[in-house]
Amino acid sequence: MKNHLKVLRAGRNWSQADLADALDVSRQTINALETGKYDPSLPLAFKIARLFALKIEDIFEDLP
Amino acid sequence: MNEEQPTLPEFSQKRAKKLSTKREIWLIALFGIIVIALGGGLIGSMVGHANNRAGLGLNDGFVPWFLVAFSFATMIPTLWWSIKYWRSIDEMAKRAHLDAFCWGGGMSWAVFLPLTVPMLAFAEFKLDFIEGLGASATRAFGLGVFTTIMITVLGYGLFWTVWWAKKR
Repeated sequence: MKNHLKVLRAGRNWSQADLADALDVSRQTINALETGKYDPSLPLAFKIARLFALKIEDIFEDLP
Repeated sequence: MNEEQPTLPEFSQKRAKKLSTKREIWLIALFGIIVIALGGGLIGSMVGHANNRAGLGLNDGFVPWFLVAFSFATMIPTLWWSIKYWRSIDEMAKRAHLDAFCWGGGMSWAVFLPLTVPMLAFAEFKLDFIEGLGASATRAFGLGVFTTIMITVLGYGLFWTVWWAKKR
């Protein structure tokens, strides 16, 4: 799965640590999410969407 | 995309408490390891020395009782610590442990199981280093259970390390 997390975060001048704090996860998890090495659970995906005030599908893209 | 520009939520008391709990968990682990290593080593050597002076072997006197008491005394705080640790980690860290148990632990059994079959299938199959221990059937069973746990831990640890290294 592809995502725009890095772009969204950088657009708001948030560090990985800021985002990790806001989402209550570790910085390693944010890094793994941004590099596409880890796909979040549905609750975490909703939390991310809520934080950026976007829809899940605006952040995550399902690649065939 | 939505044009609304969100801001980061305030650094909450809940989050601060969680971070401090995480630090506490690792400090407790460090302190626990030191206490167990030093305390267990000191008492164990005293018990062993007393046995030696009385001319008793390692399976006589207080040594077996010390080993049983030590294993139970370390089990209870370890279980308590494991629960605290599990509650403190995020979903990716939990996923690493679950995958490691399923694949690392499970695969280690799959690899080692065929190796145990000759021991059960052939009456004449003997491992000299085990035979040399002079083990009774009960002790051999205990040794088998212990070996299974160690093999599982090894597979678990290897898989967890590789999983975590790949996600970094």
